[in-house]
Amino acid sequence: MDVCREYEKLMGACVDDTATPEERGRLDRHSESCPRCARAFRELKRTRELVVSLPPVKHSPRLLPAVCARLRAQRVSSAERLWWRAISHHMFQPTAVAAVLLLCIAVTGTAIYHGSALQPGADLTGQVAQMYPQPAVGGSLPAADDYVSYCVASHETFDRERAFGDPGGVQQCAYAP
Amino acid sequence: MAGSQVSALLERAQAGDLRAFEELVQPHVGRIHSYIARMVGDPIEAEDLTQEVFLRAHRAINSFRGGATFQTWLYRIATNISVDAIRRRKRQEKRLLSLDDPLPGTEGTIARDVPDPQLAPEELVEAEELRQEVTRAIQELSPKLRAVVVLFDLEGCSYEDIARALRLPLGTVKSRLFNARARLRERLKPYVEGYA
Repeated sequence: MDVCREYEKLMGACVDDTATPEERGRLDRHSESCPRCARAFRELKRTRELVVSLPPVKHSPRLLPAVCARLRAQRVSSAERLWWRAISHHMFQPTAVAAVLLLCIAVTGTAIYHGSALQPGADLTGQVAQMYPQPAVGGSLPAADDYVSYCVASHETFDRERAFGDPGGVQQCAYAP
Repeated sequence: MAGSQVSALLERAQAGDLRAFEELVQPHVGRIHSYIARMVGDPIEAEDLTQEVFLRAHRAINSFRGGATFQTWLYRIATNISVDAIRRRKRQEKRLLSLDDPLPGTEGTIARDVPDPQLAPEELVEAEELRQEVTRAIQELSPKLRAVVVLFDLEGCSYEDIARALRLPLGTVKSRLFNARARLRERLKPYVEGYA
């Protein structure tokens, strides 16, 4: 530019209004003896005035609500993305696949088990009668015997003595084995 | 907004509180939009890009460490997004829109400025022409020079703020500003020549 090289920085600071009074004095003294620098300074100053005088750019009143709406949408989509990332990441891990399979088997097994009558405490009177069809001598038909039911359900060996207290006391039980 | 209030909001925003983030950015929306509009020369496009700035800021909020002020950090994001948009546009067809065109809104258009009642009609026309000329001259600067002029003269940032926002040494900021003014002076010669 058409200014003295050593005054370029100083002129910039003076145009920007960041120069100290001493610096401004130095430029003024130089300008008195240098018409080129004096002219450049005036024109640069005027250029800045023109730029600074530009009116502010207004924005639509809907800008802020639009920003907030997009932020909320972004949060939802990023949560979804994280979920899918976690799923897809774990889906291909062998241990995760094995764990999912075991879980499926356990859930299915439990459902079958609970759906069947083979559980302790269930009323197995009919089944016991079918398995041990010998009626008791003069005995009355009791409600499902918990112990018998338990043995049937758990496939444990039936212990008469434990069940009835007396190995020969079949007459106490309606369905002795 | 007080510094302590900003810190508290920032902490909440970093913990994932979206409302705190919205409150934090609310005072900056206008300035960021204005800066981007000056950078890209299109206030409508600037609205989309402003939204992009805040989305990006929200995604990266945990990386903000407070070395710079929050506003400076937003200016940095806005600069990157603006420069990307300018590059994108250069690749596409060149579309020049005046910053002084009326801004279409949902309820009609929004006037960009209020006419000065002190000026006569012919002076108004001249003043309007001059503004458009200055706006065009700024648009013709390279994005590097444009950013420093807009931040310093129109956004009121200090040299230090600009250095942090653009990640430049202080000396580079000053020299770019001087070069930008020199280009503008050449471009606006008919309006500044012989000015006393």
